[in-house]
Amino acid sequence: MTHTPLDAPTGFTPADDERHAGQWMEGYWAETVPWAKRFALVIWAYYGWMIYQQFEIYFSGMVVYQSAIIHIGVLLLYSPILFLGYFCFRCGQDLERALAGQDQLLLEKAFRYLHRFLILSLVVAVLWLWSAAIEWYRTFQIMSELQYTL
Amino acid sequence: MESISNDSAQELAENDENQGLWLTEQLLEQLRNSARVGMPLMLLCIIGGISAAGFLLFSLFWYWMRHHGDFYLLEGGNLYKVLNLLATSIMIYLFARGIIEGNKAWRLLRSSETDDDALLEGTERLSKMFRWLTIWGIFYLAYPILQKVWSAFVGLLARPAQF
Repeated sequence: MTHTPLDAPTGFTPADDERHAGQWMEGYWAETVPWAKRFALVIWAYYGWMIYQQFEIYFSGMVVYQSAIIHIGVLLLYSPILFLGYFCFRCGQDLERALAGQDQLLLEKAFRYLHRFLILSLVVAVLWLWSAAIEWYRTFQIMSELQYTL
Repeated sequence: MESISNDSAQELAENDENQGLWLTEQLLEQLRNSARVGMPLMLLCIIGGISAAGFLLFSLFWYWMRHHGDFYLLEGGNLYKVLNLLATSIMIYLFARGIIEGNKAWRLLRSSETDDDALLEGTERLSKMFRWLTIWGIFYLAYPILQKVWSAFVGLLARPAQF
């Protein structure tokens, strides 16, 4: 029965043509870590702000015939934002751990989370642009009506 | 016995060489794939940002132009309009900085297959993108909170004196 030495490699063996990341590259990755985590916190804070706004509208009584289901629906519609924050945070966290432990597999995992973050951001951006265009069109209509009535 | 110790020493030396972080082909390919998604995302953000900025500024000036007569800063809510315009301009600037850095980062990373300098500079700009977008996000969240504080302050001033 053979025992694996304690200093055996963790499952990663670089190919012959691959090279070290180097001090500069690791430095830039280290700079990215805190800002990626903070951006994730900002994303989650934005979702928290939306929850507060929905509660404010619901309990203000300003809108008649309003049910809680509509507000829950709005929050569910915006729930991809939570995943956006999660992917961004995991990217920063895994990058930090990879740099601390010099773990190649964790480094690659961090950039996979970055890729997921970008894909979800693209979907959210398309949906936002579409809904914003509708809102702007309605606002322009109201503005032109007000212009003619004055 | 000697050959076993030599093999152990060789293994230790190999382990030492394998330590550290590597620019593997898988990692570089992942970065290039991310750049292929990041570039259209930045383009969409530029289009959205310009549209939103144009709409916001147009709305501000449209409501402003509807007021006729002389302009007094401390009357007719003009101070609020000026501060609103300033805050909107700051938000537009911060967002634009973040998106420009992101655009440069993904453009460089996309062409990093044969260019090490592009890979290095792209990675540097990626951290700058997150930094500017974080600052923009904080300002974007602080803005409605500041509006509420302003409304409460104005409401407090407008309250008639008790005595």
